[in-house]
Amino acid sequence: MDRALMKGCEAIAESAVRAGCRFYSGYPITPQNEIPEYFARRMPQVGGIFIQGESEIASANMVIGAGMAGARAMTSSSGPGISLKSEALSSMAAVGVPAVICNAMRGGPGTGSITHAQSDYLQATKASGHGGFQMIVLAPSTVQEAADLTYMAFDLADRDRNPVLLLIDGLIAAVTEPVNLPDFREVDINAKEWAVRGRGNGPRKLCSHGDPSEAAIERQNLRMAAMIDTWQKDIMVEKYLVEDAETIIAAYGTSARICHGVVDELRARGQKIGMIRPITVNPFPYEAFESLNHDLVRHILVVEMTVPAQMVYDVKLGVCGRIPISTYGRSGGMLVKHQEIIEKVEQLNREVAE
Amino acid sequence: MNRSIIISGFGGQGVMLLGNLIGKTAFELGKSVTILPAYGNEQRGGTANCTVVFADDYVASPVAENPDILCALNQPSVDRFMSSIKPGGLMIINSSMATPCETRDDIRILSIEADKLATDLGSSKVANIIIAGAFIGYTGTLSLEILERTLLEKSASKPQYIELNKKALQMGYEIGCNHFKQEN
Amino acid sequence: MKTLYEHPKSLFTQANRFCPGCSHATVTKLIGEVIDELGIESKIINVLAIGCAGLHGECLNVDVFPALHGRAPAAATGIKRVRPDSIVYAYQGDGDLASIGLCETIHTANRGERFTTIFINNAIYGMTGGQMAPTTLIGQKSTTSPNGRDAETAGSPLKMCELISQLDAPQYVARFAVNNVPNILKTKAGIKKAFEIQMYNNGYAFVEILSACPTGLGMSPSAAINFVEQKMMPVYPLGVFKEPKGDEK
Repeated sequence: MDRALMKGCEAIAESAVRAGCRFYSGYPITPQNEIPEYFARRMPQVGGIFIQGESEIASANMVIGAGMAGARAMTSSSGPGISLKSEALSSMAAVGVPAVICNAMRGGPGTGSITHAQSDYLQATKASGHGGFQMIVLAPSTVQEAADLTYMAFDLADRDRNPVLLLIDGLIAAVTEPVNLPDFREVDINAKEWAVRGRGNGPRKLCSHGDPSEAAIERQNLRMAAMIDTWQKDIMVEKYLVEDAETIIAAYGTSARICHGVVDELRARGQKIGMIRPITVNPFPYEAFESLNHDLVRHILVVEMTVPAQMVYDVKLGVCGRIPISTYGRSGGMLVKHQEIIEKVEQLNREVAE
Repeated sequence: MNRSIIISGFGGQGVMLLGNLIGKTAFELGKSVTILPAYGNEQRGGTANCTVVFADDYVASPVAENPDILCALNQPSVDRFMSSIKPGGLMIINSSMATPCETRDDIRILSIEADKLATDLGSSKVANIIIAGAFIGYTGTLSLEILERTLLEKSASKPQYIELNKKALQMGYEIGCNHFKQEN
Repeated sequence: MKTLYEHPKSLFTQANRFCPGCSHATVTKLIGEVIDELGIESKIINVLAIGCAGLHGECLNVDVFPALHGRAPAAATGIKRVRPDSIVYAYQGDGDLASIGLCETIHTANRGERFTTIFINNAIYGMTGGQMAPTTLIGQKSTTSPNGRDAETAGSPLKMCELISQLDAPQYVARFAVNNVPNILKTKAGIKKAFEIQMYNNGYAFVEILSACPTGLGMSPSAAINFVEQKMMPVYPLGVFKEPKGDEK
């Protein structure tokens, strides 16, 4: 295992290379440009392919081709570009293309701002395109976790023949941290028997969208629903000092990182506060919220870098109305502020006391 | 121990290099560290800045709303960040280009004519290296030896700067040490 | 007894789903013959477009990948880069290639991707029911140009061979038609040459084929052939627009 000091984008790209990713195609967009730039330097060193696509749409469709040909393939972008890739994401889910997509979220809607935000949560977890498909969505909060989850994402994508989304924000993309890089893995592009390569002497591979009849599409939908059911075992969540907590902060990614410091500071002051941090935001760790002792927990504060709040809907589904839920957020590319979160928690404490 | 440092100046003053030097040195010493450049909208208004946080165990937030230390290389940086320095904190100020914008009794201020000293040494480009040396000398954190090694690695492609960099670093270090001794 | 003609081995014997008189069927058969003659059936990958071109994939016993609307060049790029030893061709109609996928078409050609594009130009959207295509002629009526295509508001027909041949990278750019037997034979030779260029010269080849769409045009098969000859050919002249230098074959 190699230890290095790396920027988030670079650690993601290097981790992908180590996972056996040998095809990357993308289009420049801030704040994730260091991902394609890293691949442009790195891919030739490992016999991989880097293409700067003519558009987000073309890039994602090149990844479809590479994935269908058996390669571990990846693309990345930020909100506006992810929207353009959405037709390809839907197609990947329909045809069964394993691929990894990274969204470095920025402020929105529209072109938005180019700095850190968490404004694509609902798009990422509920509907990244038309037709009702879903992806496993991994939301790291440190560079180390970004590297680890990128590595894992390729295995999940291959296992399910479904795209996997790595959901980061501009801060994780830009921050430099120590990272233990995973080991190199060799991937045989001929190992996937379904991959197109020319039929050889065997039967042809018809990687079709399939029979377009209603019955066939419904069967496909049922298969996808069954696959989604298997994702329960993939749920990852960090429960930080939750055991005796009377106040729970719910946050993921960079927001969770800032809230981590808030919890530490308030704990040092003697407050019983903890944090639930979803690492998979789809499948969402509803159980972590369902299992909260509602006689003990007085309120939950959902902290997100987006306004209006988005993850709060999932928290509500988990809590089922048993505990009051509030939100605090900053948006437009602004970070949530340590001091403002503390003030919000103290305000909630006062309200509960009354 | 958790130390947060904001380094701020004009683009071209070597803000990112200074942040990376301090961060890499902390990394080489086995510490947890985050180096966060401010980019995009935050670059407007004349300052680029970089936040470095290091700790022996872990760094929770890479963002420092109230840094322990501010390295201010120009006036807009002082104006923007001086008031946010944590009580008991430190401002290292490039007095060739900036002066304190307010009176604060609860922080220490280390003024260095970094641009002038650097120009006297041979190039104003090493003003940031003088600041780096002063940071180590004054705070006694990290390691001059490892920072120098990191600096020489980073400047390997520009051999003409090696001697200058070494001199600037040493000069800054001595200034930092002397100031600390005088104050204590 | 001498065998003059055999059903191409690469072509399934089941009936295709193209309309009577549709040129897609003719071109599909030609591609089957070329695949047989070149002996490349085991390494062919066909990247399909959306639209009637998609029915082409049912006809040939080769690996098939159906791309999204207009994205066949991008998907084919990914496949060919990952599998450089395979023979890849994108099979696209005019709406797909020249409208929604124009960006991908031009950039793929400009990068000189090492695969072959077969472009079916019938001046109309077929599958969706006879709407105006980028190649629809001036004055030609369609369901979305009920008074005939007006250059003032809808632009002029896009001449893809003329566009593609301006680029540096493409090795072979040619336009054919399948309106009569001599032209069908020329078309076949052109398709074969395009595949050979992929196999031996390792470059990009673009073959446009003027085709008849009786259903989309609301004509009989013979009238649709006449339309190709009398209306389309003056706008889309047949010929080789670009070929490898020094290639005498």
